[in-house]
Amino acid sequence: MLRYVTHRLLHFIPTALGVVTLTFLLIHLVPGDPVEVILGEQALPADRAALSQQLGLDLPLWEQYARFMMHLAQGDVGTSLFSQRPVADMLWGRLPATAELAAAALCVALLIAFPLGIWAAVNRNRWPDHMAMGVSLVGFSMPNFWMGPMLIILFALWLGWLPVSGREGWSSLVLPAVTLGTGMAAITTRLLRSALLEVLHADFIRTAKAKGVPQKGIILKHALRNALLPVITVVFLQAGALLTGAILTEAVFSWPGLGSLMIDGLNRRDYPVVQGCVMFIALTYMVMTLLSDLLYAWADPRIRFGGGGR
Amino acid sequence: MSAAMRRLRPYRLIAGLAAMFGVLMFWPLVNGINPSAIDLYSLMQPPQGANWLGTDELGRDVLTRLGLGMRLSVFVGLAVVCVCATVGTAIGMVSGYMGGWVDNLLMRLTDVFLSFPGILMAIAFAALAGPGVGNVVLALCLMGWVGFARLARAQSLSLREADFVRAAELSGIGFWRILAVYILPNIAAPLIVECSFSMAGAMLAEAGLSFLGIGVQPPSPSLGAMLREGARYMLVAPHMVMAPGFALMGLVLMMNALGDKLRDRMDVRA
Repeated sequence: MLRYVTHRLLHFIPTALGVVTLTFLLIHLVPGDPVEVILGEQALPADRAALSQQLGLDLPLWEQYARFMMHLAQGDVGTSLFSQRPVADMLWGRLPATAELAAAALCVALLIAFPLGIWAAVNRNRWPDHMAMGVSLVGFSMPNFWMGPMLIILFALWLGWLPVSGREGWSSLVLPAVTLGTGMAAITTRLLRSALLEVLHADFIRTAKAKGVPQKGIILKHALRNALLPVITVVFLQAGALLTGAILTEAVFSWPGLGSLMIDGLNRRDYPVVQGCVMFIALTYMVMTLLSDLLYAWADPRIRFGGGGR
Repeated sequence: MSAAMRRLRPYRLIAGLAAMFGVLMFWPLVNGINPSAIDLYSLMQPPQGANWLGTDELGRDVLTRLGLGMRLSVFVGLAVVCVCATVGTAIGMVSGYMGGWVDNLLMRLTDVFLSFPGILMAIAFAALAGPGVGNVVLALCLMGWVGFARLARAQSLSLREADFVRAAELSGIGFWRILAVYILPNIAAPLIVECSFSMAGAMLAEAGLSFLGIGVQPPSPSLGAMLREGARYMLVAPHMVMAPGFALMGLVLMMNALGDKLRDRMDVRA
């Protein structure tokens, strides 16, 4: 196990460096002059030169990159061009809202996926199965930036049960969490169903049946426990991906999280903020992926002895 | 029912949706309504009279704009899939077939791209590069090629040792010819399935970018931009957000369902 962990960690570092570098290149090579965007087209040449020097944009690209990496190594992600606050502080300030939303969405997804997935697997090729699969197809084809407004129209506007947007109390969390969680629920349902179907054909299930274990016990105790492994790892991966989904969901519900921070940054051309958000989300996703791999290896010895990853 | 018809039966729903969308997409050519004609006397009217799906915040016909928006979605989806399938498959096949340091280098590169979840990179790229259909396609290609590269690599890797590939090598057939004639046809099935899902994803992502205001710009009709306007006025004119949403979901659902069916049919493991 230790060898596998070391192996994965050694892969993690260059990939993380690659992610940071790609983000840097993305922000710096894409056309568009930040100085002109910030000062406007009529700015005086002297002002432009001063700002460009202040931002370090007059240096050659490799020197900007070196500076950027030096600062990053010291934990400095940059300063917002707009509010002059350190980007790291802004990220930490917005993180709780997004984490709350993602956690709630995760709960919604699991609460839908487990009953639906089990129901589908038990009734394979009968109407509950077809219905569950149909629902999940709709679920992951539904854009969350459309589902959000539809839920608002139904529950906030017509029924008046829940608030339209914002973040005040638990009732404002319901609609965003359902919106964000649906896609993940759909994926998890399908996965759980196919994992269960695979297990239900195994010999030990037949043995349990022969011994007279009731259907409920077979599913919940024997089958589910063995089908859970692939599901858990994908749930980890999906939890990382929820952060991206949150960008659109937060935009719909004016939820004050990382996604809104990034969109505000994009609209104001606040490059350091955008850079910070992209890096933060990508690195979080990487860590979740790593955890999911390690978890799988820990639970399934075939992986860690199988020639070290990939 | 003839045998050919029976074989096509699972595709009936998909074909039905496709036909409906085809009609909708070409409706603007027939009905003679100018999609950009502003009518300040009938703003945000619910469905009535000549405007079957009502009008938007500038009094333009929603149905006509819907048809044009769907055309754009399909165009962007096809463009992204064509580029990604070609580039990604080529990179993946070269990587898997050559092995060694080339494979290592290319796979580290795909790892970096895979570390950006969902449309994160596309959002950053599209916002910084500026609006426009070309930039949207570019942004989506930037993240879309990786899936194809992964698939093609894994498949080529296992074929590399196959007897017929070895025989081809020994008879002196060139590198590119081996890839194109011996490997590609044998790895095509999962790639075709991926095309279908990838197109669904690209259409969804285009709408997402336009919804955020960094994709296709007004006045060109795009489903995402219509949703954006619709969401702004959803409290007074819910029809404006419902219509483009159903259209987008229908398109995406059609491609996802097609992918599902193809996967079952070609017996590809997910």
